[in-house]
Amino acid sequence: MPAGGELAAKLLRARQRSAEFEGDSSPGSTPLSESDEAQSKPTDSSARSSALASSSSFTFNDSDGEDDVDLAALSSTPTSPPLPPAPRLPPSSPAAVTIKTLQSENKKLLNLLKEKDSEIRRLKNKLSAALSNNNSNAPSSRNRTNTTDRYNKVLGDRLSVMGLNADSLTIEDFVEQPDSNDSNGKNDDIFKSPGGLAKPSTTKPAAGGGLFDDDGDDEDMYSYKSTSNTYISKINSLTGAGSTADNPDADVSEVSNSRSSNLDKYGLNSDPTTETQSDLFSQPARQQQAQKKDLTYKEFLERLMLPDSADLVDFIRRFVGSILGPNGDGTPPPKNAPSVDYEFYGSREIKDRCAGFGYHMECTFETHPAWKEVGDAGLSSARNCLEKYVMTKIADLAFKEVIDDEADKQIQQRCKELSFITPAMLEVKEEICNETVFELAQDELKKINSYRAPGDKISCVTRACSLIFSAFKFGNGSAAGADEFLPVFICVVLGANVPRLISNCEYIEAYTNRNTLMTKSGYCFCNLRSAIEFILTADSSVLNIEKEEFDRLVQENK
Amino acid sequence: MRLKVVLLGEGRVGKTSILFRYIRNEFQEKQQSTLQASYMDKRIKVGSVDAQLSVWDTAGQERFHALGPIYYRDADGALLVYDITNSESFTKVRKWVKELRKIVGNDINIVIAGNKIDLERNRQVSEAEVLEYAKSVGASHFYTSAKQNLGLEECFNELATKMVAQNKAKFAGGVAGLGVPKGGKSKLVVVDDTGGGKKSGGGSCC
Repeated sequence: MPAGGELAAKLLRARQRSAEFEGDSSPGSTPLSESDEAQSKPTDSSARSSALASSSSFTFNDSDGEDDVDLAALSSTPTSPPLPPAPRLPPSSPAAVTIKTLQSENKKLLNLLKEKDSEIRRLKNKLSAALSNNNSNAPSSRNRTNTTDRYNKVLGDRLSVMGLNADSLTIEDFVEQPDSNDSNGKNDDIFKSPGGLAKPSTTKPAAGGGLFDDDGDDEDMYSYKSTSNTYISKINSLTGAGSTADNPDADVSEVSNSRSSNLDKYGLNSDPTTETQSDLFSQPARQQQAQKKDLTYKEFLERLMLPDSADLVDFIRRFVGSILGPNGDGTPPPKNAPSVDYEFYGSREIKDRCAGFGYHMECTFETHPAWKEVGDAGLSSARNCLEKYVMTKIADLAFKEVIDDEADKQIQQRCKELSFITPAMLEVKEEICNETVFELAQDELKKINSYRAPGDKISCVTRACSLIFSAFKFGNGSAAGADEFLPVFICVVLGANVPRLISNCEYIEAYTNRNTLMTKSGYCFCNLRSAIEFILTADSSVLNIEKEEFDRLVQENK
Repeated sequence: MRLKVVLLGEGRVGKTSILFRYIRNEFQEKQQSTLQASYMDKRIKVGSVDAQLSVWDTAGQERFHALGPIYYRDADGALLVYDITNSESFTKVRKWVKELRKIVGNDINIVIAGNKIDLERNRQVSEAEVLEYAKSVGASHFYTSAKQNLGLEECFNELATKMVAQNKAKFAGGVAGLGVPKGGKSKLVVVDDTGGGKKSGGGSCC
């Protein structure tokens, strides 16, 4: 809690007390505006305070007088608690002495407040300087002491947000990163895409950052720096982190509380800044893990954006274009389309084309001069990143190709019917059953529909499997193999009853490269496949119960 | 070269123990995989070839028998494990071999492991019978003991050698014009390379 708030509260209390003793006040508590007027420096604090409450932010364009004591700003800082009611002193106190002490205390506090306020003002000035210079000075404003630390921190964070906004911002700077440093990739783009940015991606999910500059504007083809405007529209299209605290109507304290806890919890270091940009909220933590041999998705994109990889980018662009077309939604280009430099095929033979493209790119990466030094691990992760990049863009069309509504409904219905199956029925030992972990695993499985790239979908399955194995570890500590794992996993899949499960599997199988399906992820995916197969074919014989009993249970759960 | 090996065997014959022992001895200093003993990655050198072995454990209970093909249909090799003190488990091996040959064909290399050789005195499966059978189906046979760490290395090495040899033979033919892929399964070769290039207009980055 910032000392400024306390300070203001204290000051108010002291003032109320002294006013009472001087006998010129009504018995009720002194209104804030009155006490301000008594200072001969009138500020419309209540109006300001409500303005601040709605934006829950400092006003950066503050142009008040130099030494104006900005009470409102202090008392409505994000974490300040509501002012406590002033304690009433019994009327029989030794009034004269008390009044004097109170007055001097009052004065001291006022001075202190002024000091702090001028400090804040200084920082604000600094901020506006930074703003006009498009420069980030954030780190320099961080090393203050004591009471202003909090303010400095907040301001510093804002400065860095503003700095990022104004300068050297790349699109993937604000790509949402659900999985440590792996992005879901909805908004990443290695190409400049003004057409896509003009429209909000909510109305056109396929086009979310997925439109290429098809105007043949070659010199802009690889310019990936974004202007503030694109930042805003991009960031506006983001959903998720910070959206709760983004509601301007929310109660100030609630907003501030949820924000500060969110800041700590998720490492988000953003705050709404000026009014026009108050919804620039999602600034994911960009902590990079120590360099590994594998390329992260971000590293992959960075490398791809180097001039040396221009030919690759162009090739990728044309491949994606051949599927999505100039409108970015799979509709063919108009007959007399100007300068579309690829042949449009839409979703025709999309699976084979993706596989061919992946294999072709894999070979290309291997021999490409710009990718030589990344090594084997780097190359294989490059292949996966490329898959993620392309599939994220074409996911909507690609998924349409594999959707099997019938099968999806069938497995969902079957899961419901068989929901009576317990781990015990599949002879799972009791000591390795951990309901909590199994529920977590189910949650992971359910997430499969919120990802676009096949690799990310597989990761959901892998995480679910890992959770189950961790339960085994807690359970008996000894090694658990497939004999123990599969029955439990079947129960988890049954319980999760994921919508579109079959379509998701088909999607993964169709668009994931073969090598991935040979690894651990592939093993987990294979287990999902076999769990599904088991669920679809299970009958009384595999459950060791009588047929009548089985039928009865199925009927009950229908 | 990435090679996939499935581990087949009835419940309680010690499949998991074999894998676990193999991992533990080889990866002692490394952290245990999150999937513990059901999946294992191992680099193995066969002659001059670096092979990456991924060993997949399968559930051996009879109720899951029908799920087998999901695991082994694209495997390069299979390690069939039986318990020498349990003749039933050897019958199961026969069943699997038949199935494998029927579904995957002769492309899959089979090694049969008679586990629990430390319990020799309780042996129920006769050695002559096993050896003859293995020979008849073109499989190698080893005795192993997960408990005493016997025969495991030999088992996996033999399997790897066979798989590498087979893959080499496959790749030796090559595919005209495409350039042979560096590693991976023969299935990779089948992939149509022209898709990306042809359909996106020229493939300028070749």
